[in-house]
Amino acid sequence: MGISSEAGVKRMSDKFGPVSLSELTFYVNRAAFGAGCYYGVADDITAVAVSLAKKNDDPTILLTKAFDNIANKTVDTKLSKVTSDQETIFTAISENQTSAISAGIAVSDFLKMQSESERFHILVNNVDLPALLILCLKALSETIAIEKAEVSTQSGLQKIECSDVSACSDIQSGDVELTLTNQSLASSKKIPAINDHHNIAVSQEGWNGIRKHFNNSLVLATEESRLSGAGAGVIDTD
Amino acid sequence: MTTQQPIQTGSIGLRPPEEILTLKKMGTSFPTRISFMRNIIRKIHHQKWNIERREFKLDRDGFGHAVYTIHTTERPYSLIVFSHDLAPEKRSDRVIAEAWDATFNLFDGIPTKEDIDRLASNTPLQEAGRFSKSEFVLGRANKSLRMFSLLLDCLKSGQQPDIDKVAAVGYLMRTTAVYGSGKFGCADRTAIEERSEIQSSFHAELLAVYLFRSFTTDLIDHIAKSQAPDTAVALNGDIKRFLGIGNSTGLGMAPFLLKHTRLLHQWVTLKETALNRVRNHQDKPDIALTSFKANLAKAILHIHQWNVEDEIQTADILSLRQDMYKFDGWLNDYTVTSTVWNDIYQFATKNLDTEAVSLIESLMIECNGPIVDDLADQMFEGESKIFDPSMDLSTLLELIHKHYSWVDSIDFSQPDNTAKFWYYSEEKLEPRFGDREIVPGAELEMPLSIARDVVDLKKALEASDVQTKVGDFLLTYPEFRHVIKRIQTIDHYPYGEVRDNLIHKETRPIDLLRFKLAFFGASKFDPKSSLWTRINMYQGAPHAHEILDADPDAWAFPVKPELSA
Repeated sequence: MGISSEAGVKRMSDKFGPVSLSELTFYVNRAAFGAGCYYGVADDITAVAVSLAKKNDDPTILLTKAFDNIANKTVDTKLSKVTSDQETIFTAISENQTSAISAGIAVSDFLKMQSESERFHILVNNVDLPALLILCLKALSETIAIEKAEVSTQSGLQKIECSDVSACSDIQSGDVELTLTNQSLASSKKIPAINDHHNIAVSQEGWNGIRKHFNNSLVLATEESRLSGAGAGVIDTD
Repeated sequence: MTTQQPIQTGSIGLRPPEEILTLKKMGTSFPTRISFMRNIIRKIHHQKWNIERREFKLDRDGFGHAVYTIHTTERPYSLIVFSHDLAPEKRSDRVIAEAWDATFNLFDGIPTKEDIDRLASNTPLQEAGRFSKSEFVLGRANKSLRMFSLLLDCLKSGQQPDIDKVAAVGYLMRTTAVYGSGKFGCADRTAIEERSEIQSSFHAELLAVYLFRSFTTDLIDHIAKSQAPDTAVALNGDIKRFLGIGNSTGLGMAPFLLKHTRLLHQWVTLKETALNRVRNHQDKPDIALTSFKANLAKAILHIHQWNVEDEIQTADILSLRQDMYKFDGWLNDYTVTSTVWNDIYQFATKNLDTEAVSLIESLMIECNGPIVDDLADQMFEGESKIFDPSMDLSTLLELIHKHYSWVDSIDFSQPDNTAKFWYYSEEKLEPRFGDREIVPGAELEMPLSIARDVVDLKKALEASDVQTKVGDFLLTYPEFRHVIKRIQTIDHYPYGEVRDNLIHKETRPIDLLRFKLAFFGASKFDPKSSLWTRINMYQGAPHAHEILDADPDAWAFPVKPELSA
């Protein structure tokens, strides 16, 4: 099970690991940065990955897709927000699709800026991975209650349940319409963690995807960087 | 997990972060009695943890494996060591090495044969191996060839080694990495959060190092006896006690410290609380002064035995010695009053250099175990950052003014102020500190250019409507998300930030390393460059066989033992 050498990664089965939470945290965080996320965003997406892993859900496949879209610049991570009496609309500032990661974080921030017990209608236009948007919201907003989550795709209107990550990860891109309620922390139902600290099984394909973006966060090693950047002598017999 | 914040009492307040969290001050840190290793030794002694050598299957040259089990009041832990024949060409201190003289794990419980067999296939590979939640720690060490050869020759011929030659190195083996907290599949930090015996920072790692120290002295005795059964003698107990475990520490520790703002705050708060309690303490000043003078004499001897090759550190040590003589002279003329502790502190800060002040702070804490030792068990803290998107930008600007006014004096248009950057190398993911103009990849730098990021944020804020909420600001400026989280967190944890430009041309990461290693309890800092240092751990500490009967606090400022002829 080689994770230290990219050349050594073999696809012997579609299961990899188990990995520790620490490893998941480190690799996802660096992978997000390697894909092009800013550090503060990478921290939030890491929290999403950890939250899913603690429920024994494998976050790597969906995150790899999201990172691919960011790295390939097919999505925008900067958003605009328009609020009316009826709803709040989030839209990418360019013609690209809206990154589900950025949208999930933005909607979560928006909810934290509001009063408790309020009900909100939110529309996020042209989201690349609607399921991931919902998962981000659930992970980042402990107090949120999702009454309705629907996505308008080219093939029609689709409800998002997302009680099972793998079952909803194939939902096509589209406009996501949400009805949400901000609850007090005391009244919100916190889903207990199943896996507290270890034995996180991830798919080999997902882990390879994370590793691909992770590797893009690393600086090429040169003799110069080895000598001046790390400092230590190569041989030390004392 | 969050610890309880200590409550300050007394008329003298805690020192402000700006006074103690500069690189200059951090780079003069000394261990204290609330450092991690000191706490571990006290715990073993007071809670009567029994240590047994369960297996010692080594050949006549010392190659094989050994198991040491420590029975804490809660549960047992075992050190499993594999001792290897290392070819000279593979000997390297660097994290990129691939073979070592010894490799080890701290195991949760008592290992079965199957556990040992499994680890025998993985532990020697270190980063290339794979571990389970049964392993808390993974580490490796190399011999000091000079020391090993000296001691082995002496013991085999029935002689004890020259203590001066022993002191020149101070250890038989030197760890080159000690990993914990989920690395390479090991148990996560969360697995020990509820285990009171090892929940404090780095206690699992340093417990492993303590047990490994026993292995090194057992190893030298074993080889000497195996190779010269008719003439060999065991190493003298006083010399054994004076031998610690060496360590070569590189850059990895620096990013850790900068990322874990709440933990840094907790450590500093506790040390500052200890010093503060002492400065406010006015009980039995005569006895206090007598105790202080005894420790001072030992500390002065200790720094006379602290000799290094590094020119900068040597100059600092020479200056420190002069300052300590000056201080000793003042103390001899001092007429004791009830404010003796604060009088000592005031004299030091007004008359001595930073390194001497740091040593005197450590000495003051050393002499006051009954009022500070409770702090040592609170050296842990949760890690989540505080983030409030509903804060308006005017409030955020106030926080910047409150905690980051020191960045205003840094002109980031000057190349020297951005000359360096921190990064992860593709080579074993080693953290490195590079020259922006020479090393390609500066766009991948770690988010440790905090001062520059705050300055950039200020510019963006000043161009924005200050009534805007942070959450709305971040829609179009997501690049500032990490630094805003940091600022909001520091408002609650003000000792969590280093008040210096960490990417300046002259920045010495070794200052951060020394600060952190002093919290560990390391001594004899021996810088090999501005990027890495050797240290000694547990030098002078009682060994496993004597720890239950020995004074667990007698090893502060270790000095060479006086041996009878």
